[in-house]
Order: sequence, then C-alpha cells, then structure tokens
Amino acid sequence: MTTMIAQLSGIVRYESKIQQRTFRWMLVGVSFMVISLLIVIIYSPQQAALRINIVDTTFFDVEFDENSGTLITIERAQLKVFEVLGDRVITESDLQRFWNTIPVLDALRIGLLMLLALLTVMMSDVIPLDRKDKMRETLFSTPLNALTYLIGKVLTVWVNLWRICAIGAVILALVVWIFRGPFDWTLYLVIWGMVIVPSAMLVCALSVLLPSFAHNRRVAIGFSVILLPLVILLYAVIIFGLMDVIVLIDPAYRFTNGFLTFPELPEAVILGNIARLYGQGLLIGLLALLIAWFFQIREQRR
Amino acid sequence: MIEIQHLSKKYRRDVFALCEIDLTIGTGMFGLLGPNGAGKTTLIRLIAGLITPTHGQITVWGHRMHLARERQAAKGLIGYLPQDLGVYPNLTAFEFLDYMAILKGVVDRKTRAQQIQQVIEAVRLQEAADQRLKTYSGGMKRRIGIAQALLNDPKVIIVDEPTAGLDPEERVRFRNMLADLSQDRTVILSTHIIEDVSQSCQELAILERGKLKFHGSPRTLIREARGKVWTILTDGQRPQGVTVVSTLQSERGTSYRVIGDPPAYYDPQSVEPLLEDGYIWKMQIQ
Repeated sequence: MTTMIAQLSGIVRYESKIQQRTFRWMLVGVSFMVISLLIVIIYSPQQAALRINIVDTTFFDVEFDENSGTLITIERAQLKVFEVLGDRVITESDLQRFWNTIPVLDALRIGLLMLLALLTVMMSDVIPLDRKDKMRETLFSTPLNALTYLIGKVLTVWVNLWRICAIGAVILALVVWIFRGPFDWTLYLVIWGMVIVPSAMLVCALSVLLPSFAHNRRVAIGFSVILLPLVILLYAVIIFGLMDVIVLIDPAYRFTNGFLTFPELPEAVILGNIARLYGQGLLIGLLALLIAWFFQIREQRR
Repeated sequence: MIEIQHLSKKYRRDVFALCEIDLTIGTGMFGLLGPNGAGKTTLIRLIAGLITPTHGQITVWGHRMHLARERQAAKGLIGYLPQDLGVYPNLTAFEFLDYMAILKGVVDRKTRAQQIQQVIEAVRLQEAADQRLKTYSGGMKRRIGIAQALLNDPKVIIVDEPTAGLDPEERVRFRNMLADLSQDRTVILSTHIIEDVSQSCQELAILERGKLKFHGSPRTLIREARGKVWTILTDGQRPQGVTVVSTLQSERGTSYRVIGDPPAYYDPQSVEPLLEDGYIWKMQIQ
C-alpha cells in the first residue's frame, strides 16, 4: 500500500512536470480565459436585463439609456415578490451585484463548453504518449501495476486541472471586478466548485481513459473527436442539471431564464437531482476506468 | 536464480514465438544469442514479467511469474533495459531516475538520492544529470537506460541489445561494467554482437525460431566447432559448399575463413575456432 501511494505521488509529480513542460495546460487555460473574458467584456447590462426578461419592470423598477444601453436608474428597487423572495427588500447594491453576475454566469457557461471540448481533445493522448515515447516497457518492468498507472494518469490531469481552474477563477474574477464592479462571489465560487471543476474532472478522466487503447497519438486524437458529441451531450446534461445550484444560492436567480430549468422544484428535489448527477458521473468515470484497465491487462497478456 | 520450465509463447494462432524452452540461469553473465525473430526479446520480456506465457512457467528468485502478486514482487528484483529504450524527453536525467526509483519502490527520499548519485556516477553522467533528456545523444540515453536498470540494486539485470549504437570505446566500457555487476547477481545479455558475449559471458543460450538450439558455456560451443573451421586461399574465386565467415584480400590472393567440410582441392588449413565460428556452425551447418 505504501509503495502504491508512493508510486501514485511519483506519477502525479513527474507526469505533471512533463505535461506542464509541453504547455498543453497553458493552451487550455488561455483558450478558456480568452473566451470567458470576451463574453464578460462585450456583454452589456441591457443584454443581461433582456436575458432575464425584467426590463418591463414587472419585478424591478429600472430604466435604461437607450443609446448606451446602460442602466441609469434603480429607484430603490423595492422588490416584494413574496413567492420568490419573501419579505426581503432588494437594495440598489444588491440589484447591481445581481446584474453584474449574469454576464459572469454566461461567460462561465460558454467557457465551460470550450474547456470541456479542449480537454477532450488535448488530454486524449496522455497514455498513448507513453507508447510514442516508448516508455511502457520501462514503466511496466517496475512493480507498477496497470490500475495504479491509470489512476496516476487521471490524478495527474486532475491536479493540473485544479491549478488551471484556480488561476482561471482568480483572473476572471479580477477582470469582472475591474470591468463590471461587484458581483456575487458566493455564486461565482459555487459555480466553479460545483459545476465547472467536477464536470471538467469527469471529462478529463474520460478523455484520458477511453482513448488509452490507442497505439499512437493520431488514433487517440481521432477517437477524442468521436467522443466530442458525447461530451457536448454531457455538457447539456450538466448545465441543465447542475446550474440549478444557483437557485439554491439566491431565489432571485430564478429569473435568469438561461439557467432556469425547474423553477417550481423545491430545494430537496434540486439537491436530489444534483446528487444523482454526481452519482452518475462517478459511475461513468468508474466504467471508463474499468474499460481502460481491461485494455491495459489485455495488452500485457498479448 | 531464474528457472524456466516448458515455456511457450504464442502471439497468433499456431505461430509460436517461443516453444518449450527449459533453461536455468544462475548468477553471472548469461548471453542470449540468435538471429532476428528467434524469440530473444520475447524470452526477455517474459522473464521481465512484461508479458505472460501461453504455457510453462518462470521462477525468478523463488517468485513464480504466472502469479500476479509474486510477479509484482519479482519485478522489484529486476532491472530491465529494453531494446528500444524510451525516455521522457522533457525530464532531466535526475528527474527521470528519481521517477523510476519511486516506481521501483524506493520510497525514502534520502535513499533515493543516494542511489541516483551512485548510478549516475556508474554510468559517468554526473555533468549532464541536470540536462533534459531530449538533449542527450543515443549513447547517453543508453547510459541513462542502464542507470535506471541499476536502481534499487536489482538481483537480476536484463539488457536487450545494450551496446547497439554505442561507439567501440563506450561498448567495451559498458560490457566491462555489466561483467563487474554480474559478480553477485544474474545479468542476462541479449545481443547480436557475439564478441560481447565471448568477452563477458560464462554461459550462453542460442535461440532459433523460438526453440533452444544450444545452452552451455562459450568454451563448449567453440569446442563443438573444432575441426570445422578453415582458411582457404584462392585467386578470388569464392569457395563453394561451405559457409564463408570472413574474406581478407592480400597480395597472395583472397583468403576465406570458412565453416564446413571444404573439398580437398581447396587445400584448406584448419584453424582454431572463435565463438562466432561456433555460433555460425550451430546455426547454419547443423
């Protein structure tokens, strides 16, 4: 057990170095940041307002400058939609914060799609690369077993993913703060922690494990392209399933119709859906691990 | 000590890479000879636990290789240098060796650092230890390959074509290093270069088409070829009915070193066989 843990830490340590030195993670991070930042910067408050469909001041007492498209008045914003917010009175700063958060959510949502697509393709050759570098004979002549090897590879991409996500979250938050002003930090962190990171972890695991049978990088990347529609489907499920978490943070986000999926559902149902989604993700991941393990064992039996 | 019993390996239907091999390999240097496709690499990969046999079994220092748990334990005793050695081009030599030492189960950081220092010195790569492996020449990569095989003080060292691509001086040094290492452990040397075996191995095996053709000492192989090796001097006409081992042009004519039973009209002169002659005699005449 001690040897296995040491082997895992060794794989994570050195495979991380190898991956970082090929700059692939930098490319993933930069692409995600560029897309997300562009959306944050070009997104106007009016678009945000149209998006959440409250310009008619049914709920909010707001006006826009038609020419510039910017928000010019928020007259105390006394919002008393009891079925949503109870007796809570929304202040001007609350509303502004809420307002600024909408483009961030959209940026993260579209950025996530970009991130998942990039990860699918760019992580697909992590295991075939060992074949290309002719490292497998040397690696498996040590007491390393196939399962430790696969888990080590997945842990490596996860560690790199967490690094990229941490850096990306901080940079994006700073840019949003500079360009837009205050926004909902809690929601921002929850989206990163509960939506972006877990879904990217699942896609990373699938992208590393499923093409592991490939005997060269070209086949692995080709296979990852075939995997892409599956990942997009997964993304849609994730967005519709996990974006519900924003409703749990503040009921006001129920108006963000881009994310509004089951507005009438109680919290317990939403939490149940989220737990089920995570459970399914875990099962898919374990299945991918089993498939990859089977291929590794078969290769050694040949 | 390595014991091989009734070992067979079939890759495709009815195509045996190895067929019914029985072999016992003790401490010292053991040479494995044979033409391309003879099954040398398959045998080495089976001993190293990289592939599993179709029939038969291998025991490495008491560990039965067909049992997964014992195979893992045996791998801890083996240092392996593959024929087609790969390295991580973006790691430095030190990092690569540290990684391999971790995988071999050298958990303690200080012990690891000590061992790495020792093997780097053994292969004389101290000055290049902090350079990335992509900057290494073929010979340097071979040396780093043997360095990783030496980590964790293995009881068995398996080297597949280790001197391929090395310059003569490097080859001699490398061969001597392996011979030194074989004093208290088993070193299996698979090679095409018969000189490497003749200079360093106490025992050897010859494989041909997956079958064991010879097992014994180099001296025995040489003895078997005695009376079968000749020199023939001609005016340039190649002798017929014999296997020509070498040709030497001189002022007197062309001198051929041949193996077989040349006709008397060639006036053959018997010469003392070398290991190469013994090998060719085994492979071509018998």
